[in-house]
Amino acid sequence: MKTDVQNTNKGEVQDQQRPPESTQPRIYPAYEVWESAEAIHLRLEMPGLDRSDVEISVENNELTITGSRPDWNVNGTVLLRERRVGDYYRVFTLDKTVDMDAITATMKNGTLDLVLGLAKEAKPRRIEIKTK
Amino acid sequence: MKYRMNGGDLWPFPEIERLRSQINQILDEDSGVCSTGLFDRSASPRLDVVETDDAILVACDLPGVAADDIELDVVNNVLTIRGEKRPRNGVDENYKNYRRETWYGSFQRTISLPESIDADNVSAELTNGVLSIHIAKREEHKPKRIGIKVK
Repeated sequence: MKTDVQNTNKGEVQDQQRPPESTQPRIYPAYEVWESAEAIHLRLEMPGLDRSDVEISVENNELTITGSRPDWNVNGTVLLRERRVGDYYRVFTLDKTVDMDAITATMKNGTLDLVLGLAKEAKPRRIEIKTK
Repeated sequence: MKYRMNGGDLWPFPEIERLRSQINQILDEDSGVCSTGLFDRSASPRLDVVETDDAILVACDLPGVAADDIELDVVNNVLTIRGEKRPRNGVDENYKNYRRETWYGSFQRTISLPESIDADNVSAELTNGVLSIHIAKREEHKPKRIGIKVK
């Protein structure tokens, strides 16, 4: 299913899903998105992944986050298996208000935090009204 | 009223297809919580349990949970993992929240372990949001290979 990309409110990050070509089952990591005065904050939960396992790329206004979760290789009898194995994958469509060069990412405790800086023109700007 | 199928206005399948792909996406989304029963007050994070020759290994997905917020105990061969997943820091009134699929709050899982475990020999570590617990078996329950002598 494709979500229409449209310019909505300021800074809104649109979520767009497109299956990647992969043989591994894919996992859409759960995320949280919020906006502060100067940036959009994205937090994705990707337990089991180290900083080096995650790849983030921006292309044509699309922010793609991928990460392969290593299988839990233990020789033994599996008694319970609830955790997902597969490739994390999620794509976000960014609108023009995000400054593509001001994206920072940190990974801690299995959560990926992305801070997407807002472009200058997207920040609130007061317009003076001239009197004649 | 005439009900027209097959290409008619009431052809329901595009809608059903759309619904199906939405449901599939929901199933692929990883909320991190396995199940919450009707009367559960706490979330149930996902668990893996593997038994090896000399230990029982448990892995639990707890992304974003600090080690200090996790309590772990073994009482009467029942392992309990409980704790609190705290919301993100710096929640500000001025923040605009757009979407949240993650969960916060208390969580708890209990698993019954076999008699063979050694409750005094349990270790746990938290790496990249995954809690790994190593529960050793008692010596007398570990399989022993008996050598056969050839005369």
